[in-house]
Amino acid sequence: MSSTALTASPTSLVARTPVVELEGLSVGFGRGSHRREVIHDLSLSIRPGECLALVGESGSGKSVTARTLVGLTGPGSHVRSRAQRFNGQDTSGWGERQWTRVRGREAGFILQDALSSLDSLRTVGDEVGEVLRLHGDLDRSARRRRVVELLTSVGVPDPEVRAGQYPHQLSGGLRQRALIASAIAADPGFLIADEPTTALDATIAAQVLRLLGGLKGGSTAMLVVSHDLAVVAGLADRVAVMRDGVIVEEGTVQAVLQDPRHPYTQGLLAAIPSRSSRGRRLTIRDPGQSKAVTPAPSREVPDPSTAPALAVEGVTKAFAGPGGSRRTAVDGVSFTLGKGTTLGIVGESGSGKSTVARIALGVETPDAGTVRVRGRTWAEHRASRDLAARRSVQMIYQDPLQSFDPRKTVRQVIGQAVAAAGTPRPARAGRILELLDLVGLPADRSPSRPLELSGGQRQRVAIARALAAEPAVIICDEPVSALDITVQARILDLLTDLQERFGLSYLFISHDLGVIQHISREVLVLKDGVVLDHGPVAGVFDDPGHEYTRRLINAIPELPAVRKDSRS
Amino acid sequence: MAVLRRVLTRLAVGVGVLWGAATLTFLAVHLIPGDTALLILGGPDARPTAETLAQVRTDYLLDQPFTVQYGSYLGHLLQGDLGESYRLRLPVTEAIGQQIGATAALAAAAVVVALPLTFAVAILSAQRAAWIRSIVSGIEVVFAATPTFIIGFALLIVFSFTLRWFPIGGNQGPAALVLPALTLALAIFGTLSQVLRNELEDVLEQPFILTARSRGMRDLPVRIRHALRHAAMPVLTMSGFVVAALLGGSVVVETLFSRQGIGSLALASVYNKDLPVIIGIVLLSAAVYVVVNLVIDLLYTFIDPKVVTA
Repeated sequence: MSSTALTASPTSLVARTPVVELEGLSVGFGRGSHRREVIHDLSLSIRPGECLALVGESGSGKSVTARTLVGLTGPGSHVRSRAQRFNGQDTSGWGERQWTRVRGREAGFILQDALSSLDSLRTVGDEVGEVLRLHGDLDRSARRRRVVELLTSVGVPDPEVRAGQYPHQLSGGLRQRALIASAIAADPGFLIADEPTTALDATIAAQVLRLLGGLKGGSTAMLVVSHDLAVVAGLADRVAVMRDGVIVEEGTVQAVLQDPRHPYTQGLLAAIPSRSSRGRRLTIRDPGQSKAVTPAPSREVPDPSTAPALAVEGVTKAFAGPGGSRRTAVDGVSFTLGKGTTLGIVGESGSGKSTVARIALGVETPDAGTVRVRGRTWAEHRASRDLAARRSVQMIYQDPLQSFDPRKTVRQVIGQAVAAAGTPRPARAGRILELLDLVGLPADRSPSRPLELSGGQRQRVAIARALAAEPAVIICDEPVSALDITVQARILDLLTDLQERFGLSYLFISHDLGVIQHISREVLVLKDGVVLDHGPVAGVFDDPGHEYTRRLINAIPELPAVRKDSRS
Repeated sequence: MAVLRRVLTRLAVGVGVLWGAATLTFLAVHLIPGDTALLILGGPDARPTAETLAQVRTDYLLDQPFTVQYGSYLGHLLQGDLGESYRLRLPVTEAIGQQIGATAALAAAAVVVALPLTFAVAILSAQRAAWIRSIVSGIEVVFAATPTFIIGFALLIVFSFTLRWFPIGGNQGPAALVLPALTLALAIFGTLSQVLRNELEDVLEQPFILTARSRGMRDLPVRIRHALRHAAMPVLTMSGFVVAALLGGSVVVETLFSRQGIGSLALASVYNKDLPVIIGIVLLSAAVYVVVNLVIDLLYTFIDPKVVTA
């Protein structure tokens, strides 16, 4: 409590009129009996020079709230409030005409995923210059000069060249910078950034965060919307945690992160995987999983001295590139995966991690090198038609939806895998129920089709399907990347439980170093198909052998001194 | 450079399409039962003598093997010689040339009405309240589903017979063009507008539209400057449909409004089995398709910067 008082906003800020103010905001979509309220009685205000973070999981209403601040709630929406002010003006009755004067000039908006947030048929220069055309009186050539200045200020190299290019010709990081340039072009006093780093690789995300950090300060007010507490921790002054259209907790960053009051915030903080969360459950309690978590005696005690579950040696794979060239996707990668252990593979997009996974699974043949499962290579297994070896390596993907037949029910999806595993027909129904129970899915979900399930439930079905074959190794390719943080925590806990229970080995691919540090014993850092660092997690992260690894580690957004006793 | 190569490739393909069309019509004519020489002389009613028939067979190479006939046919085509109409006793090029102006004027007028109508209605009705969309799309469905001649009749009854604003038919002056052009235009609008609105509604959901709005752009400029270009591409692909609607529709419309033109020429030629004219009209249609597709293809490269690099 004393820390809250110490970190309260300076009085000089309190005295100034808030840039935006919402009081008792309710937003609904749809008409008549179909209307669904997504924001309930929400109040917030942001003062000049202040940065507020709106944090929540998907469906919490954080993006809707941000859009409502500039009158862009969307078609079919119904907005009510006790008070709604922008720079002291009452905006509750505003129409398109009043809002268009404010948008762009007094409020800039930065969306996530800059590929689809920039018009793909117009040049980057036209997109950034549009704000100037709408709000300024600069002529064409003056606008062009200003666009180049703006691109330079957000750190876009070769701004003259870039301005003439189309969004698809720029990398994700440069597109995000161009989008920021477009938002700040008219020098607005208020910036909204909606998930500004979500689609970016870690090192690029860190650069964009630094750029945003440089924009705040002075008198510019900022609203950052994110699902990631760690992202906003370094940027925001205050945090508002949203769930189901309600702000459940609000306060300074220190107060909320170090002394969370609401159970939801506490759960959210505990769910963040990191090095310090190793060996501890990420979820506080998960009633849906009561049976699965009962500690079962491990069938196999992890023992690295025995033969490895999977041994990859010197694999290399090149693909045909444009114009007859060959691009080496994987270059001389070797590792062994011990029984009952987890090896994490980290790398940014295009580093070759998915190709390594496909080679390990035996669906991609390497140009050179071998993959040994149960002591023999995939080619030898194929020659001897050893289906048991085939079954002993399974895979789960980032988006299980695409790996399911949308017309099949959960029971059919798992049933197929159970049949393929050679389970005799009379035992199959029982085995399906057993698998559902193992992954913590209620049996009444078995007639559902994949589209009717949530992301977490789909991933549970994918895990059940992989388990049907009683595998020794499961290759997990970004299995939690598309999930909300609390759902991610439950899936990670489930994977840990299953590993303890069945002595499974995981080859765990992720771009998220927090997840890797939480779950892996060893880690392998991949860049451009080459292994840069490889070893126990503690060793690699404490003393990275390679400069690139060091940069990756430094890019992890850190939560400032989270109070340890809140996580026991 | 890339654009030039593209044009040349497309042109070569277009020539191939024309050759294919010429060959297919030639084969079709040969497969039609009946004595061509008799047709040339005016049909069975003309009762020609055996000598005349033999003379015509020699003149038109009808006694020669198939390959010789085909070779001579292609040779004449390459020189722009489509033969002579059996019925009109005129070179086919001349017979078509006399009529093409009237049909071109009709088609142009129809396009001038249909495209602005389509774009205006689609832009204004996309993503509007449910009742506006159901009324507009109901009207479109009626125009798209009703046969052209019924739309034409309805327009005639209202504007010619009842209100007496426009003449019933004929080719005299611009007033006579209004109802035929409107008939064709409404049929095109009915289909095209639905496609364009669906595309626009998809595009208006895209994040870059939100970005444009967040810059302070008003709704209508956002629709025109940002959404329309994206939505226009699938509509552009439907130009083939538009050409077909114009060519096929002109047969019906010119007959209904007793106008001169390619459509009524085609109909008369079919009645009289005037094969050279039918072949000429088929080749003309094929040529129009080839040219329109070439133009559309080039337009893509101007609209979408990704087409050239892809």
